[in-house]
Amino acid sequence: MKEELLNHLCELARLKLSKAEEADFAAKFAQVLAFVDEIKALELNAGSVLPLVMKERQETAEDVVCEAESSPELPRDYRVGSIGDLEGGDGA
Amino acid sequence: MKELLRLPAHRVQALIEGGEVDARELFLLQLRFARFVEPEVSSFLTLADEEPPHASEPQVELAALRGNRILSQIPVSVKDIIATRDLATSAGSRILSGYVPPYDATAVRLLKEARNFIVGKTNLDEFGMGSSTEYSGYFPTHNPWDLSRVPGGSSGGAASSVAALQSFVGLGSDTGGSVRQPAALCGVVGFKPTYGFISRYGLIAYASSLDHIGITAREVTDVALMMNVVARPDPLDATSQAPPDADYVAALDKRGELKSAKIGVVKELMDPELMDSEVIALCEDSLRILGSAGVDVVRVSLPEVRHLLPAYYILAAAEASSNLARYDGIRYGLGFPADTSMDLQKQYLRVRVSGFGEEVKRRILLGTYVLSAGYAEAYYNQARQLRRLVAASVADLFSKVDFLFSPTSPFLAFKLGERMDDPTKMYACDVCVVLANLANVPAISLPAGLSRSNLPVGIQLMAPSGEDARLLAMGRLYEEAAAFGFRTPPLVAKKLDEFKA
Repeated sequence: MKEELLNHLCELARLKLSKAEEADFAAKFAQVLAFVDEIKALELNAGSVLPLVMKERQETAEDVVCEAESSPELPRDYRVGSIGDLEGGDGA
Repeated sequence: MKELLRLPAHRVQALIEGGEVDARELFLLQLRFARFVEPEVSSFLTLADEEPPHASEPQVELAALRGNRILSQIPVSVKDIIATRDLATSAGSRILSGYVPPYDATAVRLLKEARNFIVGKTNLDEFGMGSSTEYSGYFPTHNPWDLSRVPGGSSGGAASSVAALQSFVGLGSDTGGSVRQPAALCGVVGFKPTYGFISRYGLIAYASSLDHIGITAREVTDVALMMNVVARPDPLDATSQAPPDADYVAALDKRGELKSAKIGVVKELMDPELMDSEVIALCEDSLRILGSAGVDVVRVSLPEVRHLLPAYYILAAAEASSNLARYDGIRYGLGFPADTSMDLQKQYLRVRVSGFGEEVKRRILLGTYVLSAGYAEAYYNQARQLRRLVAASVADLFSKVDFLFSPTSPFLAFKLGERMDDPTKMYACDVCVVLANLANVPAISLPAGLSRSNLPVGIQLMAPSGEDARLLAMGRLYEEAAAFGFRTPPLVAKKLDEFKA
């Protein structure tokens, strides 16, 4: 298992492995990938069953990690107004 | 009075209804014995207080809940992945440590409304991800038949609590056999209903299209009594589809009609290369018992079986990677004091890295991988397609036979730690049980006797989707013909002798 791929997956999944656990984790993860790999080679006759929800070839975008914008200017005691305040009612 | 703890729930309930046993005294006795045995088996993450927390809640009249016979006034355990308003619910994960839900799962609410008592929350593999309860974020549970062995998983705590006389019935969850496999390894009954028959409202999600609430009990009649309580339509679960008027206890009386039924033995799941020889031998004994009861036993083939495990692990991991994205330490459970030097992403990371265990991280990463650009077609869509093919093949088999038969677990209970070095060795435990989840059919595990080393073996019966009542009736027919009954593990029997009520 390539280190870059594992790191990329960790980023996408908001996880991180320490250097100490990386080697063992990568080895076991490779075992799991080998275990599920056989499914790729199966020739499944989709015509004999109900169509998939995603019938056409699925177009997927490249996966990227999105950084959330931090808002340091937001005061600590900030609170969202209640619906009642917003609509001019009594909030009950 | 302590000998009552050995009985199946329906017999105890008859004594309570006859005025011979006080339900509250029984609950206290149950709780004290559960505590007495707990250091040996470790079935529970939380045990209830001596005063049942819901004792003061308004109770509905039983007749108003359902006109049929229901499980009532019985001490039950609830797997810690099912929300309970008054007891901590962690899903066996450090990331939810200390979390007390503000509401009850529908199944729990119904149990309470039927005046049952919750003994405690049972241990599990974290978020239901495992087959031995060794992946609990807290501690492993031990098999009451041999403390050096696993009880199965992920509902290992539920099965061990029922086997070790710590509760009469257990509510568990079954995403890929998690109720049935531990039931088989602990010598009790485990039932997974048709998808949607028991509301999933309040069941912490692992893989939503495969998740079910299931039941662990000592006899099939106890399962039927429990189904009459919890299998109800629920507007809070969009996938709920329980028939409103089904009576699972009354259905047991029709078991005589099933003597002419046809059972198909899935030959790929009786393969000596995959299964322990003792498991196969006891399964063959069970088939002879069914045959002598008049049931027609035939062999059938389901070639897709050899691809079920990869398909299951792809689909479950894909759904888990999405479901578990919500755990960030902001809304639930584990959190750290605010650190203004960290941005939100780093705070999420800190919580998820320290809160999730190794197996959960592995499945989240697998799910992320099989859903990612360039791989989804090859893995996720292939697995979905295989699931549809399997469901179609199973439906075709059910046009020829009434029930399908297999072992529940290919192996006897194994030693703690024995399968931890290679995750795929653990996944292999589920080879017989994932079929029912993928094909969306009800399934039950029934005790089939003991191995030479005194370890329980279970058989599995499956029925067409929606025929849960018939499946329970067939289970009762087998139970009667086999005449095994529930057996108390020797270690637990010794503890009961020592116990001063």
